[in-house]
Amino acid sequence: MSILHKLTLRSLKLNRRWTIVTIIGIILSGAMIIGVASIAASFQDLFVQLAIVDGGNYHAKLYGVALEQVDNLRQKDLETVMVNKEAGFAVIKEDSEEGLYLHVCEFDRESFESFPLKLVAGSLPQREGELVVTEEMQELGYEIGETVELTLGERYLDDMQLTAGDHFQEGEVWQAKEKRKFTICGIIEDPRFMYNAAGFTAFSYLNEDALGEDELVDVALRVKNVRGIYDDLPPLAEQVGAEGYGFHGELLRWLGASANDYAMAFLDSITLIIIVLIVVGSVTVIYNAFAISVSERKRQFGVLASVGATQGQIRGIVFKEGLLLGAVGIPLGILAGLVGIGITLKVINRVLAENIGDAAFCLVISPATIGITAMFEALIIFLSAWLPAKKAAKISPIDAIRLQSDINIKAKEVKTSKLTRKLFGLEGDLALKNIKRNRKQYRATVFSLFISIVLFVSFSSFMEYGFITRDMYYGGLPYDFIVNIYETEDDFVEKLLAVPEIERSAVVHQLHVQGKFNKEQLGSYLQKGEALDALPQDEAGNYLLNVNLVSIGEEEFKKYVKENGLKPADFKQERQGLLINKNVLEGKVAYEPLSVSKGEELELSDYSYEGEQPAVFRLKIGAVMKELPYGVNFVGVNSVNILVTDEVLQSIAAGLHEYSQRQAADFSVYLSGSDSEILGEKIRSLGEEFEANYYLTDISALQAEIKRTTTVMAIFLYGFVTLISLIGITNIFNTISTNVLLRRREFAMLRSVGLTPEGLQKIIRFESLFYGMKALSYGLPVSILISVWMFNAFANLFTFSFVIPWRQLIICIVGVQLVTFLTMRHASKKFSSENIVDALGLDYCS
Amino acid sequence: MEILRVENLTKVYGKGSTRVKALAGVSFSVQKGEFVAIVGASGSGKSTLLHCIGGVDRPSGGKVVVDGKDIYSLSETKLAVFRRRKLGLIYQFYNLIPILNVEENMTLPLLLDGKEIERDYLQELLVTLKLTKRLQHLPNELSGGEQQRVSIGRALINRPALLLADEPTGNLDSKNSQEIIELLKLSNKKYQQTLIVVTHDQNIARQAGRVITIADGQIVGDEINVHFA
Repeated sequence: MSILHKLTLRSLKLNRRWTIVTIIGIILSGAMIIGVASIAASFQDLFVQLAIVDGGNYHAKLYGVALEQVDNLRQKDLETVMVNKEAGFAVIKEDSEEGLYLHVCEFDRESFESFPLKLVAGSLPQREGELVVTEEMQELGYEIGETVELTLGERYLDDMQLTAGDHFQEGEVWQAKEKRKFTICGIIEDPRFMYNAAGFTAFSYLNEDALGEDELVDVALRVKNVRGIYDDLPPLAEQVGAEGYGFHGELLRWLGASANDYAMAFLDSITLIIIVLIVVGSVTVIYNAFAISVSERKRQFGVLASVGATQGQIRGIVFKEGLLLGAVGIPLGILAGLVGIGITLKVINRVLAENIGDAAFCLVISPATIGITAMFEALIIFLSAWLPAKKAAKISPIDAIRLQSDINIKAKEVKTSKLTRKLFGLEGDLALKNIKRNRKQYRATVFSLFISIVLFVSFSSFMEYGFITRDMYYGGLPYDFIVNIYETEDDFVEKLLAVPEIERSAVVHQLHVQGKFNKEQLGSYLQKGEALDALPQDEAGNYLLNVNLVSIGEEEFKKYVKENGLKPADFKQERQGLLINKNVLEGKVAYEPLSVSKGEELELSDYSYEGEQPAVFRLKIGAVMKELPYGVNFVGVNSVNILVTDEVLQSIAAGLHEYSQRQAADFSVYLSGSDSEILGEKIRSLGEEFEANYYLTDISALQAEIKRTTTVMAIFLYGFVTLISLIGITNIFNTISTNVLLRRREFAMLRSVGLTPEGLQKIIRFESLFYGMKALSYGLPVSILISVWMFNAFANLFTFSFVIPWRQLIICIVGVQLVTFLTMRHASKKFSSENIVDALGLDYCS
Repeated sequence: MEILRVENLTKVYGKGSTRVKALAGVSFSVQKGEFVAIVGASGSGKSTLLHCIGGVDRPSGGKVVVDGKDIYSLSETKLAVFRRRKLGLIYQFYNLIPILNVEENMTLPLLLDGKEIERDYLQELLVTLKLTKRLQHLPNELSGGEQQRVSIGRALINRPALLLADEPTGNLDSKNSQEIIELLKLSNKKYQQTLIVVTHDQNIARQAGRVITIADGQIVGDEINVHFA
């Protein structure tokens, strides 16, 4: 082994603490890089899975391709060619107003493998004549094993052929085509990728041999390289004479097909930004580690130079250290990162199981990711070691000979003001001088602290604003369930309201009318930007808003009005309403829709159809309110809520068109209870009992889902912040403790002239205070600026005012001071009571 | 044969108000096999002169020609190699590498060159320096005298053209001091080593064959010791 290699190894062994701490820095950095890359890949994989679950595993479709061309396609260099055909519609229920059809699709084997059909019972078709139907069909009496004869045909409205996506149209005509026999071989869940607006869907096996050469089929494709698909498909479609083509946009986007795709680009940029931050943080730590090590061994390098070691040989020592540390740290870091992320994803899958259904976060490990991480890490180590290596090589042999190593310090560099001495005493003055003499190291340490502070505060603020906007929408809603009633017996509603678990309820009627407002009557948020652009205008230039007139039942109305210090009776005599002047756009912004006052009269009208004149009426604003009543939801950006009594609503409706009257007659029931789970079950079982036609919105479930999502976000963000902080702490520990150890002789000298151990601790306390103060003086303002930027950038406008993230700032201030102080104390403890003369007699030999 | 020629050597430290002229145009030459002592008061520039000769402190002006080579015309790499092979430096504070043992410290110049160690010569040096039983020890396990002997061994291992010693006994007691001087004299006699020793100790100066006196960065005396044997 060469002498330089021996020197490297022994140096690493001797300075165990430094070696271990630097390796920890490399491990943390590597773990984070591969962690971020893996998470990004996992997210991408999840979105791909979700796109497949939602839409099927294909990249593009060619419509109306002659069967003879399919073989041509199979010859081409495509991953998979799937053939399907619309067999037609069979009538399930004949009705002039709302007919019901069974839409039969034929799939070949590859299609059955690639499209997400969830089998509930039986098997998927494997032969011609076999058919799978949905659970709804099973409820209508279709069972496995049954043979059915279906007359298949097409739907037409006038001359236009209707598809499965078209609702049953009044006046549409069904034309029979052929009779076919099918044996039901399986039952499936309603397929998400195929929307049937006029009934149900069934799938049978496509036998290509039974079709004529010129019969038209649809072909779904998977290509080998998605990147070129948007350019390659049109000529291919033309080549095979396809009538049309389409893309599975959602899947292609997550496979990275489109270079211009915003979502992919966003994910890529976020990943890159985070990795750059990690690299910057890591480089400061590892650079600092090498810088300290070189500084500590200045004499040694000087001796080597004086004995004849070349600059290249000395540089080699430092680089070799980097190589050895990397050889240990990089594999451990990668392993730690993969294990950490694997565990995190498992936890997240459990938390998010209900949100993402059939998909799951998978740990995506690719050799490329590992290779790139190792490369990044090697680059980080090289960059970090490069400057210190260069410095080591430049150390003049004379530095080895002279006892003082700080010969380059000029008096003015370490000058401190008299005020420092007055305020902080000799100890504080010495502390400040020490800091000034080692500016570069000081700056590196402060920079590392600064990065940690900025990242911690910024990410925490981001979380905070995210939570606030989420809470604004769903957090404030006081009800647990909304039951929209369509068609049911009156008993159902009576029994529903009598459920004992209900603590509060409201029977809510709504009437959508239109209001004309001039610009000054709109709230400040609606007066500009895309909000204003979204509002339609009439010929006179007035802005048209949807006005949602709502009544919530007498009991709730009285409660609401009294809670706000008003008299319910005032709103019964006159035709007036309470303007609910607060709206929230989900996850975005809270704002005041209108800028009108109590007493103003609004001109409203219902919506007209078929050329009829809208019915106009006037409504006075009896009060302007800031909070939602129980039973009233937030609305869209071009709408506003006005609360009226039941009587006022019905009296307004009586003067409007029939459509509006029907609308006012419909109602929903808003419920809240002590145990939302039991209440939900009772509602559902009542609905089944009465075969009621209703729709249940489970607000509490939505709130729970949001909580889960934000928990996941919190895990990622706080996990990241913790790791970045750990890197920062590693750096501080290394820098400060070594810096202190290097000054053992100095401290011994001070003790020899009478500095007490308490005095020594005081110097140390001041130094850590100055480090912390400097880092905080830069870090805190920058963090606040970044928080402001995020406040503005991530939401267009918040009507809650900007809040300085006090909690995070305080944690930072305390944390930074604690870390720096504890580090120095730990380092100085060793020698603060040692024999003075031993330390004074110290030369670099020990 | 002239082994060293110093021409108009100057060395200035600092700038402006802190400017210090350590050497103010020093010129002299040394023949092969000479034992020269450079003496002077503290701050006279004698150590600076030795360091400039030893290629470890670049002068501000002038030339240093060792064994026919103008050492400061060489690149840093070539100068380092030259130092390794042609110069042996001994310091007051030993300057051993703390994590290398006695044998490794002594053979460091050879190891840097990747050369084979001449075992016989090494053994001879170890016997002469009385270090045979300390081969595997680290510097902090040795006494001051032993450490200095190791540094002498390191300086001699490559049979350098010049052996330069800067206050080699400055950190030793009188017994060890005399031992060291005897060893240096031995190397001068036995290996025909050209030896230049910087010292403030008149006792040591008296034992040299030639004494150069430095004051305020200039040579103020250059005497042959007629009693030198």
